[in-house]
Formats: sequence, C-alpha cells, structure tokens
Amino acid sequence: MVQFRKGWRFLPGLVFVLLGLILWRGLFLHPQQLPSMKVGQTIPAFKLPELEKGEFNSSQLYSTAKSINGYALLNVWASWCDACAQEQAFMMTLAKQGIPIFGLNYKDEVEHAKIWLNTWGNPYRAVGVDGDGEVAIELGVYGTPETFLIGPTGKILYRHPGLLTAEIWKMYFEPKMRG
Amino acid sequence: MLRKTLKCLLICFACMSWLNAYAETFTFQSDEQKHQFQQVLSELRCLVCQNQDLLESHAPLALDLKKRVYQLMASGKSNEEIESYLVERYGEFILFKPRVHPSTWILWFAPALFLLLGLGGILGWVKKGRAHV
Repeated sequence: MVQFRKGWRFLPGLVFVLLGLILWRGLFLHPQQLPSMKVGQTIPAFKLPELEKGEFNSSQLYSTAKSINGYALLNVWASWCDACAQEQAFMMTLAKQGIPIFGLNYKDEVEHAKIWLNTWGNPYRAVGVDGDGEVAIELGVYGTPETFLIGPTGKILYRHPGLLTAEIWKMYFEPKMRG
Repeated sequence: MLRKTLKCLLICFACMSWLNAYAETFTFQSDEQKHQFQQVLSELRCLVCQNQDLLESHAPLALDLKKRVYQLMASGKSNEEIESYLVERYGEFILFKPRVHPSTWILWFAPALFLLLGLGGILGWVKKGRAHV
C-alpha cells in the first residue's frame, strides 16, 4: 500500500512531460501545409485544352510517368502568382536534367500565361488550361504553386504545397524517387 | 433627425443585402434549400483564410468550392455526401468538426484523457492527505 501511494507522486510529473512532448511536437507542425489526400492514388482522370494547341489529359501524364524515366511532375501555376515566378528558375534546372514536367495553368488568362512563359521560362512538355479551377479541385489543390510527383504506376507519390526549391526537392522528392 | 435615422437605416440595409449577395447569386428551389446551403458552407473551413468558413470567405478557392457545393446540393447529395466529397479531396481539416476516425482520436479524446489523469492525480494527493489525519 505504501509503494502504491509513492507511485502517485510521479503522476503530475509524467503528465507534464507527456504534455510537453505533445506541445513541442506541435511547434514543428505546419497546419497551413495540408497533406494531400490524393497521395497513393492514381491521378484523377481529366481532359483540358492545351495552352498552345490540342489537348492535355491525364493519360499523357500517366504514360510519361510509366515510361523509361519513371516519374513526372505536375506543376500548378498561374501568371498572377508571384511565388510561381520565383520557382521557375529551379523548374528550368529540373527540366534540363531530363525530368518531365507538365503544367496546370490555374484560373488564368491564356494570353497572360503565354507571355509569362516567355518571360520566366517554359520547362513544360505540355500545359493544361484549367480556367475555372475544376480540375484543381479534383486534385485537392488549394493554392499556387503546387507540385505533384507522379510515379511509375501513375500514382501520386507526393504533393508539395508552395514554392519548390532545391532543398525541398532534395528533402521530399528525391527520397521518393529512389527505389 | 428622422431623416438622418432613415438614411442611416437605408445604408445599413444596403450593406446587409450586399453581404447576402454571394448567397443570392445562386437560385434555390426553396428557403429550406437555401438554409441547407448556408448551413453546409458554415461548417466548412476556407483553406486560404483558415479561420473563416466558406460562407463568409471571399477567397477565389472558397468561391469555387461554394459553386461546387451548390452543384452537389442541386444534384441531390446529402450534407454527409457533400462533406465526404470535400474530405476526399482536402482531408478532415476542411471540416470545422472533424469526424471521429482513428486519425482524429487524439484530437477528440486527448483533452478528456488529460482531465482524467489530472483528476486521478488530485484524488491521489487528497487521499494521501486524509491518511495522515
């Protein structure tokens, strides 16, 4: 009975430590950065007009990812989005390395989008025009820029909300592209 | 004095009807439908301005999702179906009241758990005090 009572003494201390651990962990979470619900799923089927001519659809993404390279990126951008301009230099670097990048032009004007690509660079194999943002809703897009990594089976491996930088590429994309 | 008050009231009503303008751009078959629409929207979080609901937010994404919710409602989907549709794309975070699910158990039950632990601690301390009497 004496030992039992002694044990109770540590309870407030334990609760404090537990609470401290949980709150400490909470400092490093980013509630604004939502994990994508679509990770692990195949790209939702879509069909959009291509920026220059013709069509851009999900099967193109799917077949490119399945080809020799094994991966493809879908980058959501708009000419009115400042951060998109900031990441464009890095996108061009990735494209030069041979990474297939496709664009989803989100709630934009076609003419503005074309001028923007001439200004900031065009790393895209094709750009789908999602003028009303309907395809973006299917993907769970909630801001620009966003970049989706699509794997060899056509499944979405990762979604990065926000600016894509070399650090983020190394930290989140490269590990998913190995093995 | 009366004219001033009337003028003031007129401006107030004009502002209120402007605030309602976003609900007014959709046509409803009945008042119940309109209330259902507004109720569903008030339970959904705007992901851009994350402390606002979809009813009051003017963010472009909020307006798009409003349109989508309207389309789903017009096609006969229930509130639960509309919520599931959005959670499928945006996760539980889009609901102000996340559903009880293994992934949200900690969110729902941790406060109660801490309360019990705290009460247990107090009880043990009180009992210890009594034993010495």
